[in-house]
Amino acid sequence: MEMEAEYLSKAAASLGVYESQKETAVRLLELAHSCNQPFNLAVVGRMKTGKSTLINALIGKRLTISDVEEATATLNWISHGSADQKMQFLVQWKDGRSEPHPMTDLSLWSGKAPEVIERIKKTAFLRMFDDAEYLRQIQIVDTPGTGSAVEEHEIAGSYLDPTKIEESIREGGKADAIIYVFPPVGREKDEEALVSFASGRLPNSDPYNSVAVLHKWDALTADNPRELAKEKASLLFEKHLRGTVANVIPVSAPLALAARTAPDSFFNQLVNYIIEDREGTEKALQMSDRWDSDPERMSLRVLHEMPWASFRLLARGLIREEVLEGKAARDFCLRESGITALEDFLKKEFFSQTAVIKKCQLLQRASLLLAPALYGLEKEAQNESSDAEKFKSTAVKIRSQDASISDWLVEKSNAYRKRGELQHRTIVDLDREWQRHSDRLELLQMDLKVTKALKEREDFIQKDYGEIVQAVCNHLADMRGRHDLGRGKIPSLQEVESIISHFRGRENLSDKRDRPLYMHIVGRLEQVHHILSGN
Amino acid sequence: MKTIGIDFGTTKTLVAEWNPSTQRPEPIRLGRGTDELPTAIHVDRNGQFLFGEDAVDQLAINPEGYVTRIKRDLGKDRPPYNLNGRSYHHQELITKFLAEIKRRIEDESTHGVIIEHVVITVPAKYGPAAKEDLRTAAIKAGFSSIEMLEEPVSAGICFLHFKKDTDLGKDIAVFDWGGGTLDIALVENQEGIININRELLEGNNELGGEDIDDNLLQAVNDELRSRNQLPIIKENTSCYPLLIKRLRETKCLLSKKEAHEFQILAGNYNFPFKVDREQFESFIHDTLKSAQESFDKWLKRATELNKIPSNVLLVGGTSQIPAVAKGIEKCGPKALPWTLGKEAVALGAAIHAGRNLKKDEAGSNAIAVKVLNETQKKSEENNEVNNADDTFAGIIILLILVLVIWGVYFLLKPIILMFIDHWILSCLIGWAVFYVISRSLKNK
Repeated sequence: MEMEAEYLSKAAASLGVYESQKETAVRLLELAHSCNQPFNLAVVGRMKTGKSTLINALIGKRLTISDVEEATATLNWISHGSADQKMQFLVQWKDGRSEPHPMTDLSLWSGKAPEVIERIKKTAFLRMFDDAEYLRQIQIVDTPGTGSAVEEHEIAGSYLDPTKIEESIREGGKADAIIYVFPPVGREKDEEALVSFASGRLPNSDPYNSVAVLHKWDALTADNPRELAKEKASLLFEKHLRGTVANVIPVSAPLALAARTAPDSFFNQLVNYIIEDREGTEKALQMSDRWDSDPERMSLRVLHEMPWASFRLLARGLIREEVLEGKAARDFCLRESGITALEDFLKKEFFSQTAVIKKCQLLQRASLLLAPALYGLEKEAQNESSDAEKFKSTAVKIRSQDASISDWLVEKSNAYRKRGELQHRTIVDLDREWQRHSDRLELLQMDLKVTKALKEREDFIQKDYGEIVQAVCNHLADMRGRHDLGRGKIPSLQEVESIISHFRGRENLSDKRDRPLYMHIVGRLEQVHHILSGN
Repeated sequence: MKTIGIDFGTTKTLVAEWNPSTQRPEPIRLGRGTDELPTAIHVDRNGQFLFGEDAVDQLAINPEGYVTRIKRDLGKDRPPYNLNGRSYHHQELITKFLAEIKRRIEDESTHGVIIEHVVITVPAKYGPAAKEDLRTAAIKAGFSSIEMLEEPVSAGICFLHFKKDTDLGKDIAVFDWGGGTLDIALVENQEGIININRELLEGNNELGGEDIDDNLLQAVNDELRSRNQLPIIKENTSCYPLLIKRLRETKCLLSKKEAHEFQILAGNYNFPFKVDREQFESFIHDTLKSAQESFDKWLKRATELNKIPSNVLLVGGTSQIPAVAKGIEKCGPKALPWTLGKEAVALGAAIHAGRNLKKDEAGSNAIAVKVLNETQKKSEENNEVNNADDTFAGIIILLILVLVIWGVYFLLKPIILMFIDHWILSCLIGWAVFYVISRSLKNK
């Protein structure tokens, strides 16, 4: 978004010079500031599946609000806010009102008392704030878990009804990605729930924006629980969830949280125990009581509190992989947690596409302001120029009668012409850059379409070309020079020419549906040709 | 000065000129048996250019060198086209196309009289960059004076020219649906001067007559499949060109008659194919629906702005399909199908060009007089200011002069007096000085 925001502020500055466009400039600037809206991430799951720990792990910080989150039956938006805002939360009522409350009032929204239930029913969502950096980019929606205290009162039961969830999420903004959290053992209901949940067409649809997280696998009994969790995840995906979510990723939030928030001394000491007495440590890991029987060892668990199962998983993993250094132990912990895999997935599969969509919306809004402004300025510039013409032709006509007035007219004409030309230059440059931005976006969208067609339609492109087309569509978006192409993979100029010829032929002989796709491929290839031929 | 109007379209280009003797615009026939020229270019392996129908012919032989729809590259930063191994910037291609038009008209129509002035129509949505690119291309193509006219305005000018008596009201909608694009605009007629309402521009850049051709082809292929025959695809270069020609004829004929029948030649298999208007409309249903959606959206905006037009002018080839008018009239406003709908934009440009020709003489004189009056007034004011300045300066200079003379007189007074008192001595000194100077001059 930064590039677009920068352009909009620049355009605002250029337009602000002209008296007639002052208002447009102000509005463009507002638009530029609104660019940096965070992505919305909804976290959905049953109660006690560790949603709040997962949120904490993503944010890399223990949120104060998650302590009281226990048994919350409302939809909670967690947004970025200053330290002052942190002391309050906003209640959004279903009738459209919103009011701030101090954090201590949160208890009014939890419990089983009838007036609480009544209050929850009237509430659309609660908006809470934290100053965690992560929230600047990603806004989190915490949804009420099923199995919570209020389920019998039919409220959280509505969670199974996707349209209701969608409605409530939409009131705070659209969810760009949805994470469904569930544990690996038993709980058949979770799978059912996930299936019914995803089949109900959630906000902006399909498996393209939802991912499942297999959580709480730390307690699995196996030599290597992570491998087992991976197996279970892929099995679950193949068996039940293909077509409903994009992937199932095993994540251990406690490990991620430890890797991101535990003090160095925690990892150093843990590694020290292993180095000093490997067998003793292994034995002590069998039972939490046994570990805690040594007050020194127990103090380690106080340094960073985490569930016993996760702690044991970490320690055993360190022993197995022979990680014997504090910093390496932290890295191992992060890797083992699987959180980075989840984050990468979110970013690559969901947010990058959302970014394109959001940019398109932004550019569309901006074009409603820019197009008329440029048109108005163009007309002004034309008037100046035609005035200049008139002055000049008059000057020529009266030269014989009155040379001094004629000179004065010529001077005047030149001044007008210069002013008109300058203004014309400015708006043409603005328009060109504007075109570049919208073209780039259009190309990105076409990249996505071609990629999709490549994936879904076998007849679309011959195999030997498919790889090149894919590479070109993946990497050209932000390319500036030849070195960005990665010379190894790129064929010679002649080969590019022959591929261009092939696709241009297909473009010209294809039907309406495919023509834009081939046209795009040809354009991208021509870009490669342009770069390769030394520009 | 010779002048023409060009409707440079995405798929078709149409040129018209103003005939001063009949006082009418007339299309210039550039196509084969038709006025319109496909906006298509072909470059072969030797770098030889072909344009229009000649380029379209090459589709069956060498589709790798064929380009169309170059209009939509204007104003953009597209990488150069690579045609049969040669690179061309899109502006270069447009320049070649316009130069070809100019050459052909000078050869075939004006017989050597050079066309200097040209009015080129552009979509109302075009920004300054696109217009500048087109202007540059036209200049490079050899036109010395270029004027841009917005397509809906041009259509409006044409309509007003031919239907002077029709009262259309102040606001007219222009529904311009051609081969490649659909544009809807609202023009305001202020006593013959036509302005576009910038807030009411709507359209679809991917919807046009070509879609209708595709729809018809689909229907023919369905028929072929039901007879257990292979469908005809574009790549089938022996059957496709003829078929598409027949389909386009059918499309045009069904605007006028109720049913049309023709032979389909699919390789060794021939059969007659009959379409009536109702069938035709069901074939093209999806395309019509998309156009209807654009119009509904536009009408909704117009309603919000309280600018509902009573008349909708149907411009462009595809608009002439009777179902289009029906769809529009369902929404309220009266649709005006028009025999000149296809050529209206080009004719409007020619009328505009013709008017400028007339205006050039009378108009520029009037302007000159007006400007002269204004400027004279201005310069008189200036002169007055100058005169006042001069008197003030004169007095000061006079004062300084008096002071200087007075000072010099007082400084030199003793010396002058001395010379008067001792005149013999003065003569001697004078003679001595004269002698010395003359001697030194002689020595040299």
